[in-house]
Amino acid sequence: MKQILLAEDEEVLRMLIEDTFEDENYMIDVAADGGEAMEFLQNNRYDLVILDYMMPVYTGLEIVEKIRHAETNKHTKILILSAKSQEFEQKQILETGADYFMAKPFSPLKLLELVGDILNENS
Amino acid sequence: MDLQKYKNILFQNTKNKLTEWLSLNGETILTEEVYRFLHSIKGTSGTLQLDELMQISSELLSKLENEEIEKWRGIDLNAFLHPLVKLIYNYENSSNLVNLNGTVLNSSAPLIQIIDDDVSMLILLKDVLEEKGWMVITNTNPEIAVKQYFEMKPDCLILDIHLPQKDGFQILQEIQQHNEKYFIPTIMISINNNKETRIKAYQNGADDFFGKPIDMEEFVVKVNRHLQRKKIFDQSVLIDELTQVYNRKFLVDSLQRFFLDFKRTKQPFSISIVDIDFFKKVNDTYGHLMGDQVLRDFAQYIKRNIRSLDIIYRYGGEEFVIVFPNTTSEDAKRRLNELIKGFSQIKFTHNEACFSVTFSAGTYTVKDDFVTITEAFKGADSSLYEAKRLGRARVECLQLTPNAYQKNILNISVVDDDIIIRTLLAQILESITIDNIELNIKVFENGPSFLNSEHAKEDVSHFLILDGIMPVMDGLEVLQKVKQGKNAQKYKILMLTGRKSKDEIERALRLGADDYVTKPFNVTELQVRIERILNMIK
Repeated sequence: MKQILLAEDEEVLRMLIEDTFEDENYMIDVAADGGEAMEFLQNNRYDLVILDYMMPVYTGLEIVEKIRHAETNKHTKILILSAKSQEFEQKQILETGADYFMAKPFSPLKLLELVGDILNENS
Repeated sequence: MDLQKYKNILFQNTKNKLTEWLSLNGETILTEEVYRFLHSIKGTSGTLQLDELMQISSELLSKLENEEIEKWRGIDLNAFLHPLVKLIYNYENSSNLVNLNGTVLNSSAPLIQIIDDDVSMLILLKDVLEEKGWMVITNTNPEIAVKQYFEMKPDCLILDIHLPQKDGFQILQEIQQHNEKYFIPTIMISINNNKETRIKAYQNGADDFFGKPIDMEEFVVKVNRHLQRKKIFDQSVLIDELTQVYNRKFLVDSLQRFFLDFKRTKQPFSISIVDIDFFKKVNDTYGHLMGDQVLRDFAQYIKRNIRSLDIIYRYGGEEFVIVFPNTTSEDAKRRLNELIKGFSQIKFTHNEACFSVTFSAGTYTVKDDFVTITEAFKGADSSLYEAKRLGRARVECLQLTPNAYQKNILNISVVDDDIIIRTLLAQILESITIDNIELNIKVFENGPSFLNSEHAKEDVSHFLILDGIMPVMDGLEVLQKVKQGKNAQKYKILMLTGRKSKDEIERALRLGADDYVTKPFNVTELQVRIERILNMIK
C-alpha cells in the first residue's frame, strides 16, 4: 500500500484531504505544521509527500530541502500546494527540488487524480 | 464529492474566531493575526467551492494590505469584518430562511397592516403575505393599531371585526373621523359571514370582505389587486393637475431617493427652487385664467428645456423645484441662467396685450455627506430669497450650510445574547441615517444590563430590538418591564421571535410589541424593515 504524508496547517483542508485519501484506501499521515512533518519524515518512508507552501515552523520549501539532503526519503515524490500560481513562481518552486505543483484553490478530485497518476507512474 | 461537512466546519471555525474577536473588551488584535485569519479562510474556501466566502476574504485581505494600522480595536475590527459576519449569519441560516419564490422585501415594498385578535390568524396572514414580498405589520391592540395606522399609512388595511375593547367597525369610524384622509384599501375579515355583517362592513367603509375560514389563494389575489389599485391611485396623484408636472408629494419621495443615490455615488446634485416674478400682478392684471396659462406654459417650458434626467416639481402656487442630478453648482447656475433668459423671451398675449414673464431661482448643491434634505432645501430657499432681493430674473447660489437646526435624538437599543446577531444589527443600524435625527445606538447582551442602563432611562424616543429568548431575563419579561416603565410611551419595540413559537408572538403582541420578526431573519430584509420603521416613527 502506498504511503503518503500530508503537511497542511489549514485544519479544514487537512481534514478534507485526509478523508478523501482514506476513502480511496491510501495510507496517509497528516502533519499540522513543518515541525510535525519533519518528525514523520525522520521515522517513516513515504511514496509521496504533499506539502503546503506556507506553514509555521518550516515552510514547504525548507522541508523539500531537508528531504533532498536526508537519507530516508531522498527519492520520494514531492507535491507542493500553493496559492502562488504565477508561472515564474511555480518554476521557482519546482527548481528547489519538488516534483509537482498544484495551485490553490484546488479541487479535491483533481488532487486525487494527480496523486493517482504520480503513484502509478512511480510503480 | 460531498463537501458539506467541511464547509460547516470552516464556517464554525470562522464563527468561533469572530465571536472571540467581537467579544473583545479593550484588548487589541494585531493586523498580522487578522491577515492570517483571512488568508487561511481564503485558502480553504476556494477548494470548498465557497465562492462568496473566498471573494469576501480576498477583498478584505487586499483592503487590509492598504491599511496602515498595526493593531485593531474591537470596534474597528467589527466594522471592518462586517461583510464576513453577515455572510456567516446568512450561511448558518440559509437553510431555514423562508424565501420560497425568491421575493425579497425591498424598500418600495407595499406595507400591509393587519389588525386581528386571533394571533394564529395573524401569524398565518403575515407569513403568506410576506412570502409575496410585501411588508406586514401586525396588531392585536386596537389603540396601538389606530396610532400605527396614522404613523405608517399602510397601503392596505386588513381588519378583523371581532376585537376586544373596540370592534372593527369602531376602528373604521375612528379612522374616517380623523381629519387627515388617506386612500387605503380596507379588507374586513370576520367569522360571521352573513349578509348583514357584510353589508354593515361595506357601509362602514370596507372595500372588501372575507369570511373565516379564509381561502388564502383568493385572499392573496385580492390583496394584490387592492395594492395595484392603491399604487395607481398614488401615482395618479403625484402629478399636479394644472401644470402636469410632479407635485410636492412626489418631491418629498424623490428627494429621499436623490440623497440615497448621493450617499452611494457621491455625485453632487443641485436642488433649485424657482419662483415666477410678480405672479400676483399677472393674475391681477390679466385674470386667473391667464395666470393658470402662465403656470402651465412655464412648467412645460422648463420640462422641455431640461435634460431628461432633471426633474421639475410644482411645489405650490407659483413656486417650483427643479432637481439637477450629477450637477455642480456652476453647471446648475449656468443652466438656470439659460432657462431664465429663454423663458423671458416667450410672449404671452391676452386680448390686445402682449407681455413676458421672468422667474428667479435659488439653488443648493449637495456635495457633502452631512447635509440633510431639510438643510439643502433651506439652502436653496435662502438663495432664492437673495435672488429676489438682488432684483429678480436671476439665480443665486449661496451654499450656506445651516447648522442651526436642532437635531432630535432617537435612542436605539439591541438586546440579544448572540454576539453575532448583536454585531450584525449594530452594523445595520450604524449604516442608517435619518434626516435631522441623531441615532444613538447601543447594544446589550441581556435584559438587566439594558434596563439598568442610562440609555434605557433617558427621556427620548427609543427604538428597541429585543430578542425573545435570552438567558438571565426572558425578552418578554424585558418587554413587560419597559411597558410598565415611565417612558413606555416613548418606545417602539421590534421583537425577534422563534419561527414556530406562536405563544411567544402572541404574548409579545399582547404585551405591546409594535412588530415582530421571526428568527432566522434575512439580513437585507431586516435592514429594509428597520429603515422603514425608523423613517416612519421619526
